[in-house]
Amino acid sequence: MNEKKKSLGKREIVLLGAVLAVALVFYLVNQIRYSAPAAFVEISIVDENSNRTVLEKFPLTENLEYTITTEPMNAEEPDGINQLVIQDGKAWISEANCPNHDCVKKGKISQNGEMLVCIPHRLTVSIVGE
Amino acid sequence: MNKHAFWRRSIAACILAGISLFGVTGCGNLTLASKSSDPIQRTDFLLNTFVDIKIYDSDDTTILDDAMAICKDYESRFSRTIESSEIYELNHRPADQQTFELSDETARLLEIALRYCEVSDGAFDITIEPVSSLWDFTSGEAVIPAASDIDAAVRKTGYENLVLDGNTLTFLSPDTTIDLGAIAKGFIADEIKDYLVDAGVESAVINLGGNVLCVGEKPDGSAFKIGLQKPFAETSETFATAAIKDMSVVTSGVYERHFEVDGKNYHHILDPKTGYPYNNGLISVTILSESSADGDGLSTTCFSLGLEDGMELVESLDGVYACFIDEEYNVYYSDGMEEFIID
Repeated sequence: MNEKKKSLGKREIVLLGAVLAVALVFYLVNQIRYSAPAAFVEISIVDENSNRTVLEKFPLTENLEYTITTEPMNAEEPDGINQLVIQDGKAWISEANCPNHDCVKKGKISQNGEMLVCIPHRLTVSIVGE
Repeated sequence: MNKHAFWRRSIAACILAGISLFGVTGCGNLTLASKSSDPIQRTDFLLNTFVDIKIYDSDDTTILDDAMAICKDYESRFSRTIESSEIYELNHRPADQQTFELSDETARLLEIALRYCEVSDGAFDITIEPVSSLWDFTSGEAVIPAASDIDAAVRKTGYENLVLDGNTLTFLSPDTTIDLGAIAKGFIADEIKDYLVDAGVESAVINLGGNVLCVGEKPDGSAFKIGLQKPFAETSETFATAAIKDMSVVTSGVYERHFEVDGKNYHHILDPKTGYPYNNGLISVTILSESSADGDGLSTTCFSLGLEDGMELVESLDGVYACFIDEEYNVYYSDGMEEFIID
């Protein structure tokens, strides 16, 4: 009676420990997965044949300024310049050397799916999830 | 034996517990999330603007390929500047040719466009081409065309010189040329939507240069949220959000394609009667409607008509709602428009 109880208890403890260990491993995996920033600022260009290239991807949580340089459509023109600012979970273009500054006028974006577009530079800056 | 069986069961239990934990808290959620909220998306630069299509309820990217192909096909028909386009051919017709057989698509678009010419009594006019081709709002160079050129161009306008009978278009004047820029984007958005619906898509957003057309609602049954922008010369800000299901949102405003000379704003909504941009105290008109061609045609038409007549026109139409903004940033909603505003 006494012996049986003892040995079962030992097994139970090992089993319990194993379950807890597995749970801990998965908990940590999830922690790492979900502690990554939920949103990114993705900078892309689309060429004349509709091919899209992602130039850069920054976490929306990171405060930074970045100069986006794009090759001109016409070789005689200067490089396209769009100054990207990411601050306090919002992204915007502060300056650009395109004619109309539509991307600057568009203001700040922060929600998943929102997009800043520079038509002359064939450039998009969008908020994307993972 | 008994001992081994116990350990096998224990290990199995551990693995099962782990898998189910993982499934519930990790993987499962992730798959669900990508199914319900992450759309497939394609962005391109067409129609002298950007085109962005998001589909929420399908993973089939060939639908996006086809939708973009439709857009390019229409661009190659309706463009004023592509030399192989149907409109270019009409505008550069031989002096002795008055009558043309149009493709079904071009005939359909012209029919809708001519309706708005009539409704607005020529305040909206697709024969503005001689005037609109004088102004360049995209190069960044602020050049006002010579007054004599504008006067000469204004005399060439007049939609009454176009007679459409079925697919047959007759020009009553050799000077008449067509610019469908004020309505083609809306028409193309409607065509893309028809294609998506036929392909089984029930949840999507088509954005042609800021003209938004929704297909159905979000996969979770809620409305798409579209920010309504208050335009300023230097930046714009969202002043209200509209909750939209299966509808189109189109805005015409004075800061889209424009330039300034001596502190005066020159924008792309041109008065066919004067050849200069409308200057009637409005800075933007937004139209909610089922069809995006109607939204596109009406936003320009209502802007052209001004606040009073434009609002009257909207109120006379079923299923059409509007928001006008004047220079003092007063916002005017048509009857029923406020029901779409959520904040």
